[in-house]
Amino acid sequence: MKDTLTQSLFVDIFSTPHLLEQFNLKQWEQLLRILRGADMLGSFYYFLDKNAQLSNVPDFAIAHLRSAKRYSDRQVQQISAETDILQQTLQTVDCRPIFLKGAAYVLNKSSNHLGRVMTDIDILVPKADLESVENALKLDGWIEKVLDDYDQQYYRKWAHELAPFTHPERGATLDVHHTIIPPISGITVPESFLFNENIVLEDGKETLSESMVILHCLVHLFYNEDYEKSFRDILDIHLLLLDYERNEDISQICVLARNLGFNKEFYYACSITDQLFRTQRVAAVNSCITPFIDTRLTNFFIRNIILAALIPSHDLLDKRWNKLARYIMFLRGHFLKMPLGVLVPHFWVKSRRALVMLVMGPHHYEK
Amino acid sequence: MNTILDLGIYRFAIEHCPSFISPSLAALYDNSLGLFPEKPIDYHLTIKNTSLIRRFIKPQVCIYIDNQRPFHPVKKSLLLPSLEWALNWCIASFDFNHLLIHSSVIVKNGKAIICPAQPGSGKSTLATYFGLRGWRVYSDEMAIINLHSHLVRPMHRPSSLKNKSIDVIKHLVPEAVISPVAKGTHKGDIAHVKLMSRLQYDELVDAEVVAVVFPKYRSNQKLNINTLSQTAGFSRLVHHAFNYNVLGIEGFQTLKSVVDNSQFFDISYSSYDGLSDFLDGLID
Repeated sequence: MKDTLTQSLFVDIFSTPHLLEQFNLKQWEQLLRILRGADMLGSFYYFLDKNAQLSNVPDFAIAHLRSAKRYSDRQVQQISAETDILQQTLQTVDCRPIFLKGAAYVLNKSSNHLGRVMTDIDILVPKADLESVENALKLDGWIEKVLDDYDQQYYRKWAHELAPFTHPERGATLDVHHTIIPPISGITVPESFLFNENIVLEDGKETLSESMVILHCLVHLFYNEDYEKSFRDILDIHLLLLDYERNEDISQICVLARNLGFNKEFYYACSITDQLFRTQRVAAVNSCITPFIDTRLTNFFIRNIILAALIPSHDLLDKRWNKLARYIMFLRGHFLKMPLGVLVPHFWVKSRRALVMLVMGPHHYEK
Repeated sequence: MNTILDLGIYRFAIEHCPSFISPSLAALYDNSLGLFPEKPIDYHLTIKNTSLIRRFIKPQVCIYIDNQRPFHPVKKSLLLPSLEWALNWCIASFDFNHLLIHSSVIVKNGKAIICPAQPGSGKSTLATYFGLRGWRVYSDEMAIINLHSHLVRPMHRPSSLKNKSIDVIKHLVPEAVISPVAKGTHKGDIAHVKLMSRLQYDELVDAEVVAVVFPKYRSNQKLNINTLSQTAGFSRLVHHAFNYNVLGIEGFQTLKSVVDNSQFFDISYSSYDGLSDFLDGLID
């Protein structure tokens, strides 16, 4: 085996973990760097644990993995504590927040919650409650993050969430959403899908239903514009689907996706996890989904653009094409979320700033 | 140029290390520079120029840690202190296998005294002075304590002096090996001091902590020593620990073991006379 870790070898580890038995120390070193850059060190510890590979990891690497595991274990514990406090805070205004993303994975104990690092907590509240929620949060010491004027205006006008809150005492960050996709995209998810049929846990905390959690995860990924660390997201989708498939038939999500207008995104998820993790999902949902999309064009897009963009962004793996693919996904993400009348002025401001930063160095706007 | 810094406990690679800081690194790190090229590296730093134009006008350099850039870019002349901070940043951000306390560590006869303090209290200067006067400095910045043995571990690194302490050490220990002074960092002027050779470092072993001394340099003040209770000491140590909140039960047990074995003191001083006898008394 050669010394360098290639893109295909990196990907193959996740479907064929015993490949790691052949890894030399230099390859482990490269793997750890890539995983750290992709926020996946802690998750990888648990991946090895699940696949009974921990005993084959050399001392050098296991030390780094254990360290990351300690950190993520504590974060998972903090999420439990933070969600307790949020639940109580919002009870004062009679609002029951729906916990999204990382917090939902932790609360539901989904397979992907182990080893996770999270930068913030996401909650969903009915649009009508936004103002009272904002006030209750401020009373509990949450502070709205100061953004520059332009970004502040963007949030207020176009996004599906308030500007992020921070809690200086507890060091937490909170995103408050009123729907799961920006309204400006033209897609509206009816409130009944978001606030009914949810999972209510023993302590009264709520998350979206299992299939909506998965749909949200893939909408989040495929409407995103930043693909630097998205390998973790596709792995999330894969693990969530594995959990789901244990008890349910995946074609049920397919129907939900079709009803909500996320046909294509669901097909992306099935096809990409098939190719990365050797599953057979497209075959399972074929009759339900392929009549509604142009599979030839979609497959071309997946194979040449999305897969290349999903490779973790790191000098050790990146080829020129990966960077270009990520840039295409960046433009696409913006395009999906903004009609041209908004997008053009937005790019004008951002690209003027980019030009200034190119000349003055990337730190010109930092205060 | 790519180079390796082997600190004993951690191994760093510095990619694109500019040749102008090589002499300083060679003087401070001795044979730890470029040691064991075949062994794997824990943390990779990459030094980059910030933009094409900046390469010629007011050149800046920036340190990347894989994809992260924790610090603002700096003038070329301030690279060495930034590099030292980047090493600290990596350790404090990524190592949760040890309890890390913001503290200098001095050791004699296999017994360690740790001196936790806020920046500017004089903990590095104290460590540097005694490191050049017969003690071994395990670190001037953080006590790295093993979660199983509860012993403090040595790092091979220079100490870092700020502002007036640079002249204090130059005056008290004229023979010290000191790097050129980096003037005008966000913490003022900085110089680094070599405290031991790699050969001397290799003889060090993990040590038991027997005392915790909270130092406070005050000009024109006679040596003043206050004994602290272990309870007060415990809570002050928690306050100075980088990662106690992350380590949970292991962190508590490690700290408890350190506290059980230690005496605690608040000291203020303006000269090192008398301090020497006091410190020697703690390890007898």
